[in-house]
Amino acid sequence: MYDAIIFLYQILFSISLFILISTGLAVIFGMMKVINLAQGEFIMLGAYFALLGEVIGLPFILSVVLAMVGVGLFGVLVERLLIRFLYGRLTDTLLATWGLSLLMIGAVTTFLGPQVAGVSVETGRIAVGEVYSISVYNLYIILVAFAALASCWALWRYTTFGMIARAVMANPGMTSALGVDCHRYYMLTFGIGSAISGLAGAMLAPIVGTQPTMGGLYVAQAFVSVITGGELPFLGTLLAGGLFGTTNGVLSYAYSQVIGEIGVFLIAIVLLRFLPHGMTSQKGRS
Amino acid sequence: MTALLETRDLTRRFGGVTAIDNVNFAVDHKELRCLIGSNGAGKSTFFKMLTAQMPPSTGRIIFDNRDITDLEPSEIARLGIGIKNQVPDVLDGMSVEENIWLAARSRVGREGALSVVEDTLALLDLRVRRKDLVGNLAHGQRQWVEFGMVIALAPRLALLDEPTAGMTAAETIRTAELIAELNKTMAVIVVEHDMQFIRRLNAFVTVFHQGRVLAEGPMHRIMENEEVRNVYLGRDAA
Amino acid sequence: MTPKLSTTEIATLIILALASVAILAVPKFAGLSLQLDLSIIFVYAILALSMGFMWGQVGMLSFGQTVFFGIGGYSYAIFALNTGDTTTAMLLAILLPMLVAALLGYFIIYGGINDIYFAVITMVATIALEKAVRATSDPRIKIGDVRLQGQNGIAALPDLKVPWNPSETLFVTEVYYLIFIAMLLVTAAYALLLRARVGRVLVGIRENEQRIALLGYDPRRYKLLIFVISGGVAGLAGGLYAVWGNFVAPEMMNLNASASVVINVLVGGKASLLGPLVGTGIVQSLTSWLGSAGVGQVNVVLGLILIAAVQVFPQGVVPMVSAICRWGLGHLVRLAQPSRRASATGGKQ
Repeated sequence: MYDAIIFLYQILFSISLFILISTGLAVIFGMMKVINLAQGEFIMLGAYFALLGEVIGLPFILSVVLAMVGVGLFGVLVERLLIRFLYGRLTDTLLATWGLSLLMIGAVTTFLGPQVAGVSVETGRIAVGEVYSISVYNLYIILVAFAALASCWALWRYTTFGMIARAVMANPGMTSALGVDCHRYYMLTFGIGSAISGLAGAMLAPIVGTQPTMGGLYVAQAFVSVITGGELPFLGTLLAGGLFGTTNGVLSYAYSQVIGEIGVFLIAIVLLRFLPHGMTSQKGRS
Repeated sequence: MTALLETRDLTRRFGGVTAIDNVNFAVDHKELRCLIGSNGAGKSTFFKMLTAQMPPSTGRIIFDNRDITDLEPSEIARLGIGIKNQVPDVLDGMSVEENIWLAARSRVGREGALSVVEDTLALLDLRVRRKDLVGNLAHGQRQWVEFGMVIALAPRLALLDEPTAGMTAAETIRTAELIAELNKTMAVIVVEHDMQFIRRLNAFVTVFHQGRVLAEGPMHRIMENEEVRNVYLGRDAA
Repeated sequence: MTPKLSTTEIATLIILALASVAILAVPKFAGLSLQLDLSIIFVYAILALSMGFMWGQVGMLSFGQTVFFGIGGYSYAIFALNTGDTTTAMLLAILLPMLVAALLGYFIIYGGINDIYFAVITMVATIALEKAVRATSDPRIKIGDVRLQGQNGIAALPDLKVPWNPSETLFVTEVYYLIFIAMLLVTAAYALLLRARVGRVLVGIRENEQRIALLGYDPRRYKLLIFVISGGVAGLAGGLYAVWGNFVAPEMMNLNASASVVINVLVGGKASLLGPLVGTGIVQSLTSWLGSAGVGQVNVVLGLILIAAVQVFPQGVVPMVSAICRWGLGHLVRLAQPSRRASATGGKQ
């Protein structure tokens, strides 16, 4: 009984991690079709903002807000200085953001050193039966992951901002002819995607610590989710997060974390053989 | 003798729009056929389905007694269907002779391919441009390069989507001659808007309208068909 | 159709011939340390060529050539340590990566995912593999008698033996010649491939994949073929890397390594076969000089080069230099032939 609860909890937690890591990219790649290979480093930056918050004595929740704002603003800056020159040039975007990723890793290493630093949060644990206990903090992560995904979905689905943003992404020419300042929407969308990545980084910091090279694995997981998720970014992220989180959870539980990560990659490759456009489609099957 | 190409209830839907609606169509060996119809009648969609550039929603395509509906474009080309698409569909970064050579080399050996290239370049009067990059040629000439690729491929069925678009009067006459020449060895289906050109080809005509076959017959019959005049020929015939 | 040699190809041959003479003469006057430095540049040049050919000629963006580089290196290491047979080990360094490329390529190429996803998935592959190798630090994880040792890598690999005389091993200078000749042979092989039918079809795929299919060539088969060949070439580079340093480690496959490959190609230019070679020479010399000058993080420099290359000189150095040479030659021609000033432009296609 308790075994089953722990097992289910681990799978849910694993799914939440996937969703948390992928939602920022779902906004940037899913909505804007910008392939940001520096996405992992945005998460890394979020983790460092959480560390900064701790160093200057902020309560953890404010550190998280600091990370969202900080990485969000950083994203806006990146969009203005780099990305906006590259819209429509997919390969160049890919290369330039990879350059950005290296630059960020290099800069953080230079100024803060290559070592791992920890961020601590006091939350306590809940006992499950006599043997097991669950960290309350991990429950917060589950909550935040789903809340982040749901809010992004709602923002794009139900608000005026979301409606106009979708129109801008679908047909910038027509939308700007209607008097909308498209640049603003690109900038804001990129900023929101970055802020969500900052949130992910800050939430992850207490469990994985901070390290300049931590982004590598996250960028892989996020792209696997978003690419196999398909054309509907938020539903796709949910489905892909569910599939890969479960795979990872089960394999990690049975073997080891690395087997879990390799398993995810192999399943993604096989999936793309049969569903090259991912699990969701705007048109439905023709 | 059975038909070379046959479609059975071929249908293609785009969302709520039915571009091709239950088309049953047949072409015989070495036949020359013209497809006409207003813009959006589904002619290009029809061609794209025949060559697997687009999968049909439902229906079957039979070529030479073989169901080719689910084959890959390259397999269909190997079975003997060549196509010139509506928009010039060529290899812009390669030379004229390389474009034609790639078509020839796909079916014949090294030696054979070189002589096919020479013959095709001579036939199309492109010998002086042979080293030019196709991307640097004028629209009409790029059409001919693509036409040349179909010739070099020597299919059993050639599909030509608007072969005279953007051509001068002299080029158009030459194109009609070339089609007649091709038709000696293969079946040809031509999509055209130019009525003069179709009269010159003197072919059997199929009229598409809103994704369906509206009428079929020799050109003079089609011109007399009241329904066809109403929906399509109205302006031209006036 | 075997096209006549173009001006570019002739220029490439002349440059390669001159460079070869200089490079073959290096051990006569330079010490072992320069020979080692140059050897590793040649290894990376082979790796860059395997990536640059696919990118420039076929339009396939493989960000994961380091997967095959790493598997090549580890194949050599594990087999050579287990058996002492370095010849077979080197063959395996080519064949195993080809096998992996065939499997990986089958799924992603036959699925028909688009070019950009292809780039991302190959990149993810190298991240996943590096992660897996790093996780093998447990001393019980062995292949044969060889411990994989996770992030520490495998050291003390045997020197390469002469295939027909296994009692003799190759030392620094011989390895230097071997790697250089391997680089020339790979370049020549790619050049010949480009002129053959397969190569023409591959260039055709870059130009217009759909048209190539409509001519009866299955683009997926050709793309898989070149992916497998280039996987083997990257594997060869990995095997040579292991021979060069008697050492393999997960760093061979990490994101920095795969970024370096892309940067080398981008800086040199992907349009020609010379580009990846020249680019590797420039970038590797620059980074090792910066490293020894203590400029700190090489990542910062690589990142800046990558961003600058995309924004400022997307064609790379080789086309830029050859354009300058043409321009200069054009002027010389005009000066030499004042009467034909109007017609002489010096530009050649």
